[in-house]
Formats: sequence, C-alpha cells, structure tokens
Amino acid sequence: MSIDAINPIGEFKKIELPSSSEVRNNNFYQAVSSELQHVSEQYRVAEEQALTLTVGNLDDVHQVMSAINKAKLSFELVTQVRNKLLEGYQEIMKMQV
Amino acid sequence: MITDSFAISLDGLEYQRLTVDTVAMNIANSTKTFSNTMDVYKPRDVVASTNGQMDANGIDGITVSERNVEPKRIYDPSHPYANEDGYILKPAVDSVEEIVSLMTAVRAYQANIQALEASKKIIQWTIDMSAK
Amino acid sequence: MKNYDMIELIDSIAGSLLNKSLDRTTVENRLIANNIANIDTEGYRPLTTEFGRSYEKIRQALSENDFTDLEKVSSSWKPAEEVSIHPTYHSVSLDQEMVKLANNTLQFQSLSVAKTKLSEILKTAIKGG
Repeated sequence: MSIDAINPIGEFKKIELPSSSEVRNNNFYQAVSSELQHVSEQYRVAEEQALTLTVGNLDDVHQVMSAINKAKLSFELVTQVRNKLLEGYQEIMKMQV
Repeated sequence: MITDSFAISLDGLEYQRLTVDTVAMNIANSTKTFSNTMDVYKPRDVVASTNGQMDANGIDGITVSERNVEPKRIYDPSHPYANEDGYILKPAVDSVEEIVSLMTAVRAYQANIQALEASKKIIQWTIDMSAK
Repeated sequence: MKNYDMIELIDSIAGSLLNKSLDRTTVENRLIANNIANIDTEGYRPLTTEFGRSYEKIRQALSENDFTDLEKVSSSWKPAEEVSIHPTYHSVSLDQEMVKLANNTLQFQSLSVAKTKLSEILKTAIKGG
C-alpha cells in the first residue's frame, strides 16, 4: 500500500470585488433607483393634486383621490419589495455553509 | 366658489323659488279692485333666458316681467270704484293658470334638489372611496 | 423636480396650505350658520367670504410651480379676515346658503382625507412598511 503525497492545490483564484461604478451599472441598482424616483414623482403629483383642493374646486376630486391612492399604493409596493429582498438577503446570510 | 354642478342646481332652485313668489304675488293681487286702467295690477311672469351658447352653465338670465294683458272689466255700478259707465277693473289673473304654474314650479324645485343631491353623493362617494 | 429636505417632508408647504384651507372651510361654515340664523332679521345683509384673490394667487403659484411663492401665500393668508357683506344679495337666500353648506362640508371632507392620506404615505416611509 503506497501512500501518495498530497497534491498541491492549484493557485487560488482572486475574488474580483465589483467596483462602485459596476454596482451603479448593475441592473438591480438601476431598477430600484428608477422605481424610487418614480414613487417620489408620484408623491409629488399627489401633493400637487391635493393643492388644487385648496382653491375650493370639487369638480376634480376624483383625480385628487386617485393620485393620492396611486402614490400610496406604489409607495407600499416599493416598500414591500424592498422588505422581501432584504429578508431574502438575510436568509442567505444565515445559511450554514 | 361653488362647484359647477352645484351652481347649476342653485340657479334652478332660485328660479323656481322666484316663480313661486311671483305666483303668490299674482294670486294675492288677483281680487284687488281698481278704477283707473293705468293703476291696474298686471300679473307677472318669471322668464328664464339663454344667451344662445350651449355651455351648460346654468340659467343665463332670470327676469321678472309684467304680462301685457287688458284688465278684466266687470259691471258693478254700485261699487265705490265704479267708473261713469258702471264698470270696475280687476287684474287679469287666471287663478287656474297660476295654480298650474305653482305646481310646475314646486315639482321643478324638487327635481333641482334631486340633481343637487346626486352631485353631492357623487363627490361624497369619491371621498369615501379613498378614505377607507 | 423638487427635492425634499428631511424636515420639509413633515413640515411641507402642501401640508400648511391644506391646513389653511381647512381654516377657510371653518370660516365659511361660521358665516353660513350666521346667515341662516339671521334669515328673518330685519335689515341683515348676508355675509360672504372673498377668497377670490387668495385663490388667484394660489392658482398662479401652482401653475408656475413656484414653491417659494406658494409658501408666501400660505403664510400670509388669513381666511378669517376675508369676510364681507354680499355685493348682490340684500337678504339671505336659503337656497344659496344650503348649497354653500353642502359644498363646504364636502370641501372639508376632501381636504381632511387628502391630508390624512398624504401623511399616511409619509408614515409608511418612516416606518418602512
């Protein structure tokens, strides 16, 4: 019975960390920031619509209400997506390797 | 500032109320006696007019005008107001006609209230829809 | 596009202008109540609000998206002082007061719902869902 020497392991591959510009060009980063931009815009529209009520005009009240609801729902959607993603990340971090 | 649909209903309400007032005045004056043709009470009408533009902005003009009718001449020589021929003058108010326009005005007033309630509810529902 | 400072989100111009408008509906409501109470008062001339000029300023600032102007209008607007005797009505018109009352109530409701909903969005933002 012959005992073989341990074969040397090949060279370690260097792990490439993404540079900050690469992070910014990432699809996910872009998706989140454009979504946030969109939500912020909707909040602004809702605020502007609400201000049309201050001059005593009730004729467009449905537009005001739908703008506010839209802003609220899209904000909640983005918040929930963010929460789910964070949960997923934490799940992965907890994983036993 | 009153919302458009409310302002339209308000025009209708004020017009019909004025009609009721005018009818009341015509009836109240219908039995008065006069001796001079110039003094005789002439029944009044409320006239709603349009400026010709179809712009759904309520009633354009409401005016109260005197009806151009000859007074009723009644032969009653013993009446203190009788003239030399023995006639007295009474306003040409047709009470049946007045009552009919009174009923029409009251119904139209109700219809305007209904329209107003409907506009109110539409806005109310819109607000409630978002409040929940 | 307007960028928000942190505290501006809570203490926003929109919020303070909505508050002023709620004040306005309260003033209007008091006038309507006063007019109806005085419906049979001899020589009483109905009172009315004259927000026309303030409305014009707000509309102007809104259309120009001028937030500093809006802030100025909002802080200088004193609804309780913009009250006058009605220019055309010499006696109280019950129809008009009733319509104004309905209109005013709905305005109050819509303003308060708008305000509540907008601050709920902020609440979601702060609490993170």
